[in-house]
Amino acid sequence: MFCVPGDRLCVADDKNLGGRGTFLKGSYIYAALAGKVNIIENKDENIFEVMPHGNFVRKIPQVGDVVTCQVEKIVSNQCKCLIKCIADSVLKQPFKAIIRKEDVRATDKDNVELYTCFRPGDIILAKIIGLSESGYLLSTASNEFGVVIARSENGVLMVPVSWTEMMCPEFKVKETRKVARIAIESDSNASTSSKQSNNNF
Amino acid sequence: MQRLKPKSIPSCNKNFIFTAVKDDKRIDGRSSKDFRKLSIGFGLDYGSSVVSLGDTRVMCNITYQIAEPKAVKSCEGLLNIRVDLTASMIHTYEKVVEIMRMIEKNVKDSRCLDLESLCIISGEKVYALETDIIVMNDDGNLPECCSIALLASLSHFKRPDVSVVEDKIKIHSFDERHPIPLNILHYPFCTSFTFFDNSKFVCDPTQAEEQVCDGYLIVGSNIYREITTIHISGKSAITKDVVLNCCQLAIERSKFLTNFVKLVVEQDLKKRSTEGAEIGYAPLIRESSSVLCSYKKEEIELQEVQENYDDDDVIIDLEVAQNTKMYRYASDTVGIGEGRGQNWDFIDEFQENVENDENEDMYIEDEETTNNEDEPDSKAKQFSKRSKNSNKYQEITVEDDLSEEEVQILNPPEFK
Amino acid sequence: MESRILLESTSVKTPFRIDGRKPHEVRSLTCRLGVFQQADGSSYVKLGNTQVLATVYGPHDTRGKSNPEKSIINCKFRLSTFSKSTRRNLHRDIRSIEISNNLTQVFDSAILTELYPHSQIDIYLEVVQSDGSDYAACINAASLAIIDAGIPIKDVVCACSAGFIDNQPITDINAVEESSNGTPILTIGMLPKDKQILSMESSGGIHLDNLNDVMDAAIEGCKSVLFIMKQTILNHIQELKD
Repeated sequence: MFCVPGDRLCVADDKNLGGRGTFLKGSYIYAALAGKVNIIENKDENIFEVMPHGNFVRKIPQVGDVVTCQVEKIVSNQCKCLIKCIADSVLKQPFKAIIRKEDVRATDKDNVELYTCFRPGDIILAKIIGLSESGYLLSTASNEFGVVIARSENGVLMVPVSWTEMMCPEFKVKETRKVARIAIESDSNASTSSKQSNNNF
Repeated sequence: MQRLKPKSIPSCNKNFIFTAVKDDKRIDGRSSKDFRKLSIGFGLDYGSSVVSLGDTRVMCNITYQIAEPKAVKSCEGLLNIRVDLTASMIHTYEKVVEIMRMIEKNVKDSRCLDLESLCIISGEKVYALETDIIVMNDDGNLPECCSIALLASLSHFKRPDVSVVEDKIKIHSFDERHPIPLNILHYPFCTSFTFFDNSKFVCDPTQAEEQVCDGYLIVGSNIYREITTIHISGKSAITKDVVLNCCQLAIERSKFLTNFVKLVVEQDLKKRSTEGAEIGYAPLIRESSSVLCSYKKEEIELQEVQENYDDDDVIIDLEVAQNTKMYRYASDTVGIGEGRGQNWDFIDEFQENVENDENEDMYIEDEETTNNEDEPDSKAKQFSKRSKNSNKYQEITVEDDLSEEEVQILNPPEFK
Repeated sequence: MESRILLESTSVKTPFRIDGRKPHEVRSLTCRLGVFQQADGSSYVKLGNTQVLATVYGPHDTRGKSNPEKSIINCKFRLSTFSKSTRRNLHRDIRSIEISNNLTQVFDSAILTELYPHSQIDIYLEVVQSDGSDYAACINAASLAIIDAGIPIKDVVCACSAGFIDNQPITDINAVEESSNGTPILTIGMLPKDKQILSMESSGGIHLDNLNDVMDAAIEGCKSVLFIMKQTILNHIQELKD
């Protein structure tokens, strides 16, 4: 069933809930997008949602999202990045974000040298913890967050060696980074997503 | 020029305004359909007016030039309207454009002014009226205040008489021939309505109400029940019925304003024809309850004055306290007493007296001379007394029969 | 020059307008969605001879101030230099700024901006050919572009203009009727479901007794416009699904 914004979908009560692409007004649920109406039927409740045409849902980064970003520049106490993807969806236009020095690692927060953790051009996985004047605040203070893809000073794609080092396979030179530990079960997903970002890179 | 950040309204203020509007109440005590006090003053020149609607104050000046008419309308005069909001530094250019277009649509598109009467030589020379509307203080409802100022100025304005002699235009001075007023066909006034929470609305909003409102509706109307302009914006649920209802209210308001403006203009023009009458802004600045004065002194009635202090060093005479009056100057400013004359030279005298008599108190001495602080004559006597006593200050020659104006210079400002 | 006959009565019941329409007839409306690939949403509206292009970008990062509660709507209206019969090069004239302001406020009320805090949505409108009812055509075009972009909106915002000539309310004004002296014109932009008026601009004096009829004419015009817009949207979605 197709709908346009403003179409009344159903009565809003305990059984019927509005999902993505709908809004509640008075005692009815209305569609807010133009697209196909999807009814997810659970045991006690039906969730009405509208899948927009092209299946492209507009997203903006929100606190708690895991995002993929590229490092732009490093200043003494913070690292400026651009958010390129939110979870699986690639953004058309990047959002500005910063990682403060104290949010890079969970342990030994104060003695962090940013240049040994990130370099401009690295692709990072991070979590959004808040908002500041100059963009979203990110944190890599966890094992699964950190550098995913980096190139060595010679321009060759590096391979992770430990949680602090990556090695260039050609010249066998090690460089320090704060490396992300991507879980083994989802390794295939991680490699496909890293391949995808690799193409943009 | 840097702009100030607009004051953000705290959410508790916003909630208060919303809940109050539901009960038909507002912060300044008005009901939702009440308008604020309106006063209009005129300057020395014809066409210069100041309008204050509550605390919103707008000045309008009209000047004229001789110019070429537009090619399309060769026998019509020109009317240029300019709005100046720089005094209120929080407004953006967008707001200026909004108000300017509102007033232009209201006055120009509705053809309230007969522009053909401003033509001198068709196709070559016409009168071009330059209107400058200057917003002196913004406390909400600018469109209404600006439209009142503009129409008051237009009805007050007089242009010089002109005679055309063989392609030469002779402009007669005001002394030679009487100046001619403009031909105004109808008076379209703007009325603002702001909406809160779907269909609850208030008339004549203040700045705070405007900032938190959900939507607003501005209607321009005249006494012939013509709606000259409507402007709706915002997210309030305004339907056709609401619009028609508001138009009715706007027409009522227009009737009142038309009569008011005509009356005020007539009074001012009468004043000018009588000899010795005070015209212009200067006398308005002196009056405390006029359109130009920011201080509006109101006396507060005190019911009882009690002695209630523990400190023995403080000596207050109960009689003085009972005679002291309290004045309210603004919604958040109250004055106790009105201040005394300067008594700098008094200190030396006091020293002398102290040497003579330690228990003497300088305030008590003053009271012997004055019973009522407000009387200017008593103050004059005070000064004369002091100058007689102190030898050091012989150069201050203050005489007993002071004219009122001189007293005003010596005393701290008294607002009569 | 001022004696153009705008309304010609061949019979008492049905006068004809200068372009042959009946008083309550809206001009032929054609819309298209997704005209530009690089914009997030775009549309093209042709209302009689008035042609408008709209593009929407967003929600995206703001450069500078951002509102923590909702998205900032930024709308720019532009009349092309070649849109009218004489070339005009007024880049930022008062009329364009006024229309931009009004459009910003309309869509600020209609779009569910609370869903995208700290971001900005840009709407750009270009009138390619102007033949009256520019403002109404722009609201319709911007509305379609926003729906094409997949930005949640309360309803399909539709707009129509109406006027009053020779004691007859007329719907959908064209340029000749607009520029003639003394024609009061009013444009209404509304959310059709609740009949909620989001924007109304009127100029020229309309008597209060006639105001009801003129507003009705505009609202009826909005209904006809809405019908065509909805058809266009549904066709576009169905094409994409296939």
